[in-house]
Order: sequence, then structure tokens, then C-alpha cells
Amino acid sequence: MLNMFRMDLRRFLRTKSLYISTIVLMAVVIIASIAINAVCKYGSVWDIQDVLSSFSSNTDMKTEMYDYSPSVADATMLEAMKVKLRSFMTLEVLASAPFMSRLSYMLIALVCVLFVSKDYITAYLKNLLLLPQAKIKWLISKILILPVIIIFMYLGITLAALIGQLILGNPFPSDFMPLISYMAKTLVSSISFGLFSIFIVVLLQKRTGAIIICLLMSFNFQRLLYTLIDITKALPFKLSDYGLMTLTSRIGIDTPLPDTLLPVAGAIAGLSLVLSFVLIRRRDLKM
Amino acid sequence: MANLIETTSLSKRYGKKFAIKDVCMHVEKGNIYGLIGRNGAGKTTIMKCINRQIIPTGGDIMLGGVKLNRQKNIKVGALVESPSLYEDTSAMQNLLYKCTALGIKDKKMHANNLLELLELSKVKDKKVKQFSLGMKQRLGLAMAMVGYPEVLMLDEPINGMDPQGIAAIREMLVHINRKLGTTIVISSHILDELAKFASVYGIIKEGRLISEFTRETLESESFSSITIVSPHIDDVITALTEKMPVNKDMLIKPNTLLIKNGAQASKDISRFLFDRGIYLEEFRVDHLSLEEYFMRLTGGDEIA
Repeated sequence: MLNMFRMDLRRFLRTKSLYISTIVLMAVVIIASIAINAVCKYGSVWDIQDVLSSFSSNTDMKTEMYDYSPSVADATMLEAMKVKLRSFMTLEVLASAPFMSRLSYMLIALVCVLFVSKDYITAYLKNLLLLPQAKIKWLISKILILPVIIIFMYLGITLAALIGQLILGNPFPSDFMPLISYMAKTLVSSISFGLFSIFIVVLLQKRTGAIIICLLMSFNFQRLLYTLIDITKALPFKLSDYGLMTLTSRIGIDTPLPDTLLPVAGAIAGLSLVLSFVLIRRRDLKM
Repeated sequence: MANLIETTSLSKRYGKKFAIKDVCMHVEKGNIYGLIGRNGAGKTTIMKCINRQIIPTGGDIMLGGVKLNRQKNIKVGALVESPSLYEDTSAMQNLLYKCTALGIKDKKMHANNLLELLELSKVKDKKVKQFSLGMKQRLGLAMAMVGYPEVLMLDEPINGMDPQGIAAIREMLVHINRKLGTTIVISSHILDELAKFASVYGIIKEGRLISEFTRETLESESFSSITIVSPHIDDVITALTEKMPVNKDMLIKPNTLLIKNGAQASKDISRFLFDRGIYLEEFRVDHLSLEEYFMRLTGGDEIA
């Protein structure tokens, strides 16, 4: 078991898609920081409000900024807004922007599927079947690698947010706890979603199909289906209230973990695990 | 000798169609077992079952006297269908990954030994996607041999190889079979090649194992014909009439007699003619090739 994990760890360190995805995430944060810096230097009130709408769910800050009407904002007020915006763009705000959260889920799904499905498309898994309980060990190893992939990508985002904060001219952060706390909250969803991705690969044993399904899920496509089910009123509760990605989108720096997120993420993770183990034990390998 | 691999009524069904049915295969330890059958006969399915790639619908597979699923001591290395390799990494890296998964201690030395054995040392750092088909096959063989498993399952391992490569693989397989005692189950379409080194053969037709025989059986049963060339061919015919039904219709040339299906008695015939003092220019016994023998067993119209 440990040997299989060692093999995966070696492979993980040589996985191009992991580095490319992390670089993409980092590049987005850094480019966004450069853009904010430009807005802080040359932007209008409209630009500032645009930036805020894309970066934060902090309603107090938004209300305060939206109170400034472009028609009434004079030069002094504009300067004050820019200073406020600059100081607002801290490490955790940059790392937790809603678009970053979506992008990171999409890329986590992509990396997971590419990493796990590689043993199917190259049929390398066949080489390992001489080990006793090889398929189970292979699956456990992939499950153990999952948090490593996620944490690696989170570290990339944190580093990029740190660089972004320095680009904006803000001091080096003294307290990383708000960011760690935010990432710990999203880790719950990420692991659950990653396990779901592994299950899809084991189910389909195909890369393309698994990528399409996982990308659609990362964009919360399932919400449309949940809404359709809710319209029929077939269930005594609103299914869309229990969508993993919907609940995940409610996670913020200052907001507490949604009550239903842990049970929903746990149920999806548990079900994905059980089904993955059953499928890998009982089905033929199509390779 | 005890069977290292034994299948009992092994069956695999896809939908309503059986890919293999009631296959009872016996592979003794140390054998080189040649599995022969035409495309779609079920050779690969049997190998996949033994390699745990697919789950049989029925029957049992015993490996070293223990059910396959419970067998932890005997390892089966396999090259089934195409080699399974990470194309974007080097040959060395592919081997090292498997060595790591198997917990082999001196990974680099082990991988280097295998690369040397398969004559891939010079290209060990080259990415697999740059390999030719033959090189990939050889690397696939090296992968199958990681950890020197007790059993090697090789499905068409010489596909795409040049004649020198085929000869090298044959020699290598015979070498590891003799030196390490590795039991080898191999299928190939090139039956003449298989005939050169397999010690036991299994013929599979439409999912059923119709015959298992040793090389000795093949040699003893595959006599085909006797060709006798003599300037006194009439004397030959007259003399042989006493022993067997011979007539002038068997003359293929004015002085050449062809006796079909009577070749088992070749020694008796030659001694008999010698005792009679009949001068012979040529006395030749022709054997059936493995391919001809296979065709005879499978009904004649089969192509392996």
C-alpha cells in the first residue's frame, strides 16, 4: 500500500497538469492584483465598483463604496476610495475571490481526473495487478494523493495572493489565520468534489467523459437539474439548498461554514468512496 | 509435476456471448505454454482472467494450488495486448515506477538489469513516445518481468518486431525459463516461431480449449508423409503391397512414390525395403508443421 503511494507521489511530482493548473491559478491572482493596482492609480468610480463586485462578498464595504455616485464623487473622494480599495485588497480577499474559488474547483477537478485517469488510458494499472489486492491499493493511493494535490494548489494560490498584496503596496501580512481558516472550510468541499471526480473516473474508465462531467459539476451545472426537480415539488425539501457547489459558493472569509455543507460534503464523499470501491472490485478493467 | 496454473471450467460471458467457455487449462511449473487460436478465439480473455484484469463469469483459476484471489506469494507478470506504458516518461522511469510500487529495494540496479536484458540500455532515458513499436514491445516485456515473477503471461509479445528482434526475444524467454525457472504462457500468430521454443501447446477454438499437447506429442503425431525416390519404383510398390495398401496412383513422378498418412511406420518401411535389397535414391519423412497440425485439429480452415 505504502509502496503504491510512494509511486503515486513520484508521479505526482512529475505531473505537468498539476504545475500548469497551479501556474494558471497563480497567474490569475497576480494579473488581477496588477489590474487592481492600475485601477487604484488610474481608475474611475465605476472601475472601483466593478473590482469590488468581482472580488468581495463583503456587503459593508460594497454599500460604502456604492454610496459614492460617480456623478457626485469629486477628486478627493475618488482618491479616498482608491486608498480604501487598496488597503481592502488583502491576502485573503485576493485568494478568496468568488471567481478564484470557481476556477480552483474547476482546475482541481481537471488535475484529479487527469492524474487518476492516466493509469486507465495508458493501461499502466495492468502492470500493477500482480500485487495482491492491487486495485484496492491503487484506489486508496489515489485517495491519499487527493489532499496533496489540493493543498499544493492552495499553496500556489496563497503564494500568488501574497505576491499580489505586495504588488498593491500593502505590508507583508502578519496574520495568516483568516486565510487558513477560509481554506480549511473550502478543503471540505474540495476533498468531497475530488472524491467524486475519482468515482467518475472509476465508473467511466474514460478520460474525456470524466473531464466533461467534472467540469460541468465544478460550474454547478447540477443546480439547473435541482431547480427543475424543485419546480415539480416531488421532494418535501428544496434540493437546490443542498447542492454542494451552491453551499460552497456561500463560503466566505467572514461567513461561517453553512450548516448543511458538512453533511452534504460528507455524504457525497462517502457515497463516492463506497461506489468507487465496489466498482473497482467488481468490474472488469476496460484496457 | 504439479500444475502451477490450473483453470477449471473457466468461462467469461459478455452479454449473451461467451468469450471463453469451460476452459480447463493446465500449465506445469517451468513450462513454456503456447496458446494457439485464431483471432477472437479467446486467448487474450484467458490471459486477462489470469492477470486479474477481468472477472470470470464462471469457473476457477488456481495458481500454485491456491485460488487466484487468495494467492499472495506467486506473482504473475503480464504483457497482454499492447504494452502499458507512460508515453511521456522515459523507459527507465516507467520501470522505476513499477519497481517502487512493488517495493523492490535496489530499484535502479533492477531496472538497469532488465533494460540490459532487453537491449534497451542505450535508450533508457529516451521518452517512450519516441520508441518504435518493437522497442515498446521490448519495454513492455521488461515491465512484465519487473520483480522476476514466477509466471509470465505474454500475449503476442513479438508483434511488430523484426526477425532479429524476434530471435532475441525467443532466446531471452528460453534463457529466463531455464535460468530462473519462470513459467511462461505465450500466444503468438507466428506458429513456426512458437514451435521453436514452447514445450506445451493449448489450442483454443471459439472460446473452448480443444486440445492440450506436449512438444513430444506434436513430434510423434505430426508425421505426415513418406517420399520414396527409386529407379526401381515398381519393385518398391510390389514389395510394399505386402505390408500396406500401395498402388501406382501414389506415384507423383515416374520414379517417386508418396505415401500419405502412413509415416508413423517409416522405420519399418525403410528397414523392409533395405532388407529386400531395393536401391533407393531418396527416403524422406515429412512432418506436419505446428501450423498444419493446428489446422488439422481445428478443422482445416482456421488461420492462427
